Amino acid sequence: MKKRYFGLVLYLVFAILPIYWMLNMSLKTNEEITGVFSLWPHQLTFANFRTILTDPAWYGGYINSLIYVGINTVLSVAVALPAAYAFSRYQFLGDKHLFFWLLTNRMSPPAVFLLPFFQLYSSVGLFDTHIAVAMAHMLFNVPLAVWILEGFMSGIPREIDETAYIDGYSFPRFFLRIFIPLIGAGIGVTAFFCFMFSWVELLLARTLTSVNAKPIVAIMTRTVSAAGMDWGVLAAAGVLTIVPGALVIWFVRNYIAKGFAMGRV
Amino acid sequence: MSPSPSGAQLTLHEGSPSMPSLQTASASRFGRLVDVVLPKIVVAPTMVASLVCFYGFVLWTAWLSLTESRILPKYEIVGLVQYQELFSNERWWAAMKNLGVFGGLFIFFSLAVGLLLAVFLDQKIRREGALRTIYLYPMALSFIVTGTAWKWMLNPGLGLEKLMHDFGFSDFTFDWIVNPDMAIYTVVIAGVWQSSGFVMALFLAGLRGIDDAIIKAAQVDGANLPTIYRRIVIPSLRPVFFSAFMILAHIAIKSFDLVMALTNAGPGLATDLPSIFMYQHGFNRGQLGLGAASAMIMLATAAAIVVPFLYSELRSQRRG
Repeated sequence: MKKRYFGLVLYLVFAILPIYWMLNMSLKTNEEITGVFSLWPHQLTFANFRTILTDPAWYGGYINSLIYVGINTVLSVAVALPAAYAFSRYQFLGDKHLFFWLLTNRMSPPAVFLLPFFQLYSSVGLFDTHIAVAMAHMLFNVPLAVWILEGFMSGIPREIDETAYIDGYSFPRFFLRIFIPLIGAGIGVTAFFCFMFSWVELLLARTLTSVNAKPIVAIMTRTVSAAGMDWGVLAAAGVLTIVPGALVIWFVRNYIAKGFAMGRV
Repeated sequence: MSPSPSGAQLTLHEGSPSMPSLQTASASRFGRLVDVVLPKIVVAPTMVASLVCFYGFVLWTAWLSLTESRILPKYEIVGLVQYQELFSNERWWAAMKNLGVFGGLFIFFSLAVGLLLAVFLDQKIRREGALRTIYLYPMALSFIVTGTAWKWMLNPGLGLEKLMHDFGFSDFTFDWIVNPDMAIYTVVIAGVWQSSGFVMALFLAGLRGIDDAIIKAAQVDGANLPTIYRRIVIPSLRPVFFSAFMILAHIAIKSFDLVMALTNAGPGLATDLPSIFMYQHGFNRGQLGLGAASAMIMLATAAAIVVPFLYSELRSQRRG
């Protein structure tokens, strides 16, 4: 028994260390970072966080990221809901094939779509807009959303639909008033995965934006390569990018396991 | 791996009618109409959009890869010139070799660590929920953040090496990240750190799905724990291995941000990967055609891994 805990605790340290290291750095001054190592900041400073929250070049990145991630999540779920319902409730010609084909779409490397997206957006004037990044990410998120939602919807017995029709519900009313609340957990999990994909994706987001819609992760890499390391500010930026993901995980933490159990995530 | 209808039955009876109403006839006609027309109407826009975007964009890239596009796209087809150039490009082969080393080690260690953690966590230990959440959270990080955090940890002047020096072990060296021969392994470490919690969650869900009765029966028959795991548990996790492998392979082939943040493809080009090659040639060096050609080869590599797996899995599902 002891040995088992030893392994788990060892991995716990491994899992926490890099993030602790970063949090530690974000609360130190640059002199202290490059000076003698300490496990906790001796001169606690919030100056790094203050820099990020007051400098538009930094907090603008967060706002850009949140805008396109939000658009993408809402649109992906909205588009996927009816499609997933159709896949889960009806049999039609080629439905199985279509379903798996959707998934293989998602497995293709984003690099293949990079050049066309860039050319297309440049020619229609969508380059460097939030909607452009959101739509590029939808190409990957909609198949995933359909896949996860279909799993949750198939868990709802078909009798519920029939009962609602017999009770005189129209289809839209049934869908919005009865069905959507029933698969609330599924929508939460789906939104979480759409959110995470879009929040962490760099290649498309970085290439399709230049100034106005530049996401925070791209700003971070730009600063990494620039001369003169401002370690503390960079660490603070890293810590702040964890926050939205951690919040979303907190909201859906009880449902994620269910999503995994269906093998759909 | 069948979806479980947990919790759904409870609500079933609340809305059920006490007696059939007059609307039954119209409802069923409505229902039949819905059955025939609605799925097609609903699925069509999504499918058409995906179809057009997916195949349209793949074809577009394929077309570009057959032209002599440099900074701006040109659309006269000149044949396989770009592919010839790509295959004689040493940097490309170095990137592919790196991808092989990184992908192989990354997938192997993520699977091994994930499975081990899941098996340990499955022993009905205390505080399982908290441990599970902590193991899972690296998944919620951006690869950029992972890369940056590990870059500092592994940096000889800032991270672990300095820590050991400060403690008095002045002989301690850990300079993989600046050593061209070892730098690719730091990418593996960071990648495994990020992904193994996710793999653990997949395996844990699979383990929980195994029928306890089978394991009890094996115990009654006198099988010891390692045998039970080797003979019963691991084989029944086959579908989980399959999905975990697919997801990890996909992450490995497309990985871009992790390397950008961790080593920026360096030192030199020691940790160059195909997606970085593609990005730099397509956007920074004005070699659009070459970038498109490398993207097509990446797609072919991904397809070569994904398609046989998917196919064999689908076939076995149909038989089973």
